[in-house]
Amino acid sequence: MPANQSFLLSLPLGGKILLGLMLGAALLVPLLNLLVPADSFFHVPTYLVSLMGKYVCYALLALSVDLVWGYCGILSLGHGAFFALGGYAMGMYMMRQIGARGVYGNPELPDFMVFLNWKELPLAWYGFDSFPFAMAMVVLVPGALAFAFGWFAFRSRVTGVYLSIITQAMTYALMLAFFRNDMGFGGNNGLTDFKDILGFDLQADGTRNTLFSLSALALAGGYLLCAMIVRSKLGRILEAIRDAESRVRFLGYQVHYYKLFVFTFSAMLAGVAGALYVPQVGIINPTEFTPGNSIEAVIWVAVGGRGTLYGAALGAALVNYAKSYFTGALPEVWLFMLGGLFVAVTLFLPKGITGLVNQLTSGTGRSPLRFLYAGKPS
Amino acid sequence: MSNIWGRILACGQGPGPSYWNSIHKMLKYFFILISLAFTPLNAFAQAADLPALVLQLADKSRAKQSEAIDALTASGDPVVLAPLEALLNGNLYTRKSDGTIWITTESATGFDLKHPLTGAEGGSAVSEEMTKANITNAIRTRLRGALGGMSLLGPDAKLRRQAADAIFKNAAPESIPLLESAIAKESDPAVLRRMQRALAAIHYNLSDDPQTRLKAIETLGGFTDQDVRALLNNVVARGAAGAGGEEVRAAAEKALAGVESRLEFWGLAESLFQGISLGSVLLLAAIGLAITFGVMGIINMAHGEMVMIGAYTTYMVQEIIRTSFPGMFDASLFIAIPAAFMVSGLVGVAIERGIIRFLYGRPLETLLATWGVSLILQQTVRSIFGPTNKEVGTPAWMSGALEFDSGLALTYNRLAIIIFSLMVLGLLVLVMRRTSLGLRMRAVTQNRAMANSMGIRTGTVDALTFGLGSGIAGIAGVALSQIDNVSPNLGQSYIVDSFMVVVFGGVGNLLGTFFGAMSLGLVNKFLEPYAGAVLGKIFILVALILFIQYRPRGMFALKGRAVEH
Amino acid sequence: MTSAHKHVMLYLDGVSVSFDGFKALNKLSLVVNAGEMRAIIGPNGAGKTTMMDVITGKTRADEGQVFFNGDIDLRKLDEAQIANLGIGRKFQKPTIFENLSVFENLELALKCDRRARTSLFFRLNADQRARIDEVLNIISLPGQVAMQAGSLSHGQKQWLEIGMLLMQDPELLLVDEPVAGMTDSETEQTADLLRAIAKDRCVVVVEHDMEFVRRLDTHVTVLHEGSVLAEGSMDKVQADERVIEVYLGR
Repeated sequence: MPANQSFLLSLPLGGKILLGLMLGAALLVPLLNLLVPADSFFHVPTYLVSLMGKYVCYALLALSVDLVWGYCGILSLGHGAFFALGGYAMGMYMMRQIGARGVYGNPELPDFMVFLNWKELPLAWYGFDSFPFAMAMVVLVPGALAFAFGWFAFRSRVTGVYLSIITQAMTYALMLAFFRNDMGFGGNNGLTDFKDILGFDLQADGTRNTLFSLSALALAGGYLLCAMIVRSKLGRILEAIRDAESRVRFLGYQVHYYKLFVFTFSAMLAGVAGALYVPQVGIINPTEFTPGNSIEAVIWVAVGGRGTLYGAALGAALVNYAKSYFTGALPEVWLFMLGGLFVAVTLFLPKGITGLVNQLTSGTGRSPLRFLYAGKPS
Repeated sequence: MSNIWGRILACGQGPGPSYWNSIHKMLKYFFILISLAFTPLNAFAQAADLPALVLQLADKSRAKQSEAIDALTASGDPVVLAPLEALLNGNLYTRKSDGTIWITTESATGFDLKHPLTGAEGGSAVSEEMTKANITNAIRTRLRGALGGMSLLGPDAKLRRQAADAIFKNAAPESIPLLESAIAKESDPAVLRRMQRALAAIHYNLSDDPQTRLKAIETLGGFTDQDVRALLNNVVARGAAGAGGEEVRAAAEKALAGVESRLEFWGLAESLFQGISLGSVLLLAAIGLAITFGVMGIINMAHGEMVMIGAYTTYMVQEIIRTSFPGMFDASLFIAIPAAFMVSGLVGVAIERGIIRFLYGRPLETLLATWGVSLILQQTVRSIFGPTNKEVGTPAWMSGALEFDSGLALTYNRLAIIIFSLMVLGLLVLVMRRTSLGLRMRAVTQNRAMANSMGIRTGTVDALTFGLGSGIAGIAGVALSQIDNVSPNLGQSYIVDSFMVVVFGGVGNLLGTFFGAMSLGLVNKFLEPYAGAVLGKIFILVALILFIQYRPRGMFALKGRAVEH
Repeated sequence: MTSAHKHVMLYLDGVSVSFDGFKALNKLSLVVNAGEMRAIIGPNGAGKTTMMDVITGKTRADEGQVFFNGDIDLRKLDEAQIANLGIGRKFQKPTIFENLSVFENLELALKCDRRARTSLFFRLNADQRARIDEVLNIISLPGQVAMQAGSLSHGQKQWLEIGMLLMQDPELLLVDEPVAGMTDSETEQTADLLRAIAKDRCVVVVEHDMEFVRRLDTHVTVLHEGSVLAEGSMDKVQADERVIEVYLGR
């Protein structure tokens, strides 16, 4: 591994494209939305800014799933829970910002607590009026859960499908818990009716563009961090764990610490994605914890191509674009398509789209279009 | 157990005419004949006054009306129910032309007439010919009370019991004569006990004689239910006041202790029953998974959908029966069981041959692909049957409950599911241990290459094994259709639980699945009173997550080198 | 006890392991001295692999003592801790990281700080790079340095795994059937390689191939049904009545 070569230059082409796109979009999209007149061809309408922001958040979630699944072989069916926890942390901050502007006008308590006839703020809500505190919680809460969960799971060597099943049970248990009113997180309505963030109106175009740019930058930053991890020696150990876990142990590596590190980091990343997602969609509720959501995030990664990082982002964007399109145009068909996607990708595209492209372009180091004249002896 | 006659009679109210119904109707008439034969003669002697009393019901004087109501009630004859009810409902009219009295039903032209006592048709009349028998609110109240008491003598055991319980609550002294005559006639032991309970409560309330009170307390102490407990509590709380004083209080205290300890026992019994019932549901849902996941090692996330398909098959079978063979409704579940096994089994074989066999040795991919299959199956069912719940009927023999004094009711459908789940488990164990298919299954799953070289067609065995697991899931669907909503999401609610049961019990171990299901069911139900349903479930999930980490291979884990691959 | 174990590299006493009633090891006792090379033979099911599992921490002994390098109790440690003490293991089936290159395989095996946070910021220094080159030469794979390990031939994979063991720089090497599936010339080379390694390390070789064991020219222990049946030179062992019965009599 040539160490002195510049890290950025050594990234794969797909990664460079992702970084370029995100940095460009972070700059360009607000310009096209705010400065270009509405009737111009180049104008980006505000709804599109928010929609793209949503996709970028999904891409960041997919990135975090790919880091653990693609590189360490941990198929987590509970990353939706970390995403949702990050989202709730952000949502709680924004609930506190509403202050006396709620329907009941209570300066201290959010509307749903007044409605439930609560007299004082539950302990879990303390501190969430402070933005820095809430932002710390965005990464610390998912991180702590992942750490505690992983501490038990990885030390007792729960692997493979067993791990997948208990991660699913984890998010299922959280879903049941958050559906309860007395948990103090808004029950099945969740948290909504947000007004502003750091004093900026959430409905304002400026705020929406800023949130989009931040999401794009977060995706770029998240990609760089993940790439740094997977390209370090630690990354190669992760891959080694994925392929032959017990062999790594016999080499003297404490496998569970490695897993714990990458799982916790990945959960924090998912938390950031959730925190950026919530202000852009305006609501967070317990359905985010449904096991189905977490599995869907896995299929984004599978579609894009696991073990590539940039492929995960691509997959998230593609699948979610298709979802937006089909649930609008042919709602009956969407679940058939999503289900078919799961089957088709696992059967025919085990390396996803990026794997297919890589195979076509660089598989043998010859022409990218070599499949056009397949069969000719070379 | 106790109110067997009531159950037989209630069967007659099942949906649609059927041969079961006609049998029950015959039984009913037979029963009435028998009871008529044993009716004391004096009842017939009094019958002579009844027409006059009924006529008096329409009297303008409220006093006369009251008198007639009381006299009719006192006769204890069930035939007086009809005119009293008609008076209450405003259907009792006199014909102006001849002063005769009739029960009316409105028709297109005016009224159809029926004789108030015999029920004989009396032709029709236009409204102008008839005068309604009016009542005041005071009379209405009196009528209600009278009717309530009258149902003590009615043919419906359930109503008799309700009436007895109502009297127990009021403990009004004027009910004593009626109650006593009802007790003399009562044939149903459960209802009889309720009547005695009511009588004891009245005696206690009414009497100033310490001995009567003591005796009443003693009788009450023989019962085991919350009402008696509350009553005795009351007595104890009031202390030594009233006739009998300290003695009565002490007796009540003793009786209360007995009632409470028995109630505790019954409460335990109830938790036990509910726990076993939940356990059997979990067992049914998980048992197919114990084959596909436990024996074959396939993660089938569409397992819940196999259950759902089984439930929809039950719905279809019942629809066909409803439209084409209405007489066979009570047998519908017996037809649905093989049908559901076939439908779910075939879907399972199709999934195995079409998708899963290409993914052997890649469990995580199998997990994802079968999740996709589950989405497709759900949407297919949603497209065909719509997203709403489907009504699946319960056959007459499965409705109702085994009831105990304590209020514990073991519903027949739950009991049937418990027995059914054990039968399915037993059958499966037999198939796995005693048949050549079972032998081949175990051979293939233990050493595929070796089995192959011995001439076993591993592909066929894989398909059949998966089909068996799926078919059993379908059978579970038949049972679950009786206690759960039949909707496209039915399977989703069982998938996490099923996996937990199989993993908890120990993968690859059918007996482990049984213990896993039962212990989860019992823990859940015993936890519920303290933690509530949802928190209890969360608690169990968390405990399971921790348990799996402590013993990754479950309660009944196989050990050894063979397991590690 | 400590002094008695001074020059003892591996000390097993009365070790038993059972799986569901089947006794894989039955009061096995074995002593291997520092600097010694030991061959372990025995029919299938004699407990050879289970013995390795017990030493390397993969399987826990039900009873008995397992000491390494004098007085280190191995029963309380997990695989990684045992590996870091200086016990290397080569598996029966070559287990290398097929998706990594030959170079990366050796790099991962390189003896150094195994903690996660140091791995994250790890950079090879010149000495370490030189060591990798040296091992590449020993295992005759310098030409395949950038190749994916999965595309090596079977024999090359075996050697790569031995190379990884060398990178670990262990005091004790446990080698399970190193020549299974090798050609004759590869077998010969492997025997030379092991003898060379054994010069400054303690090596325990489990093998079926009698010819290969004879070529190693070393002390032999015969296992049968989980305990030691015979011990001594190859000639002595082969003349032992009971050994002949176990190998031929069934």
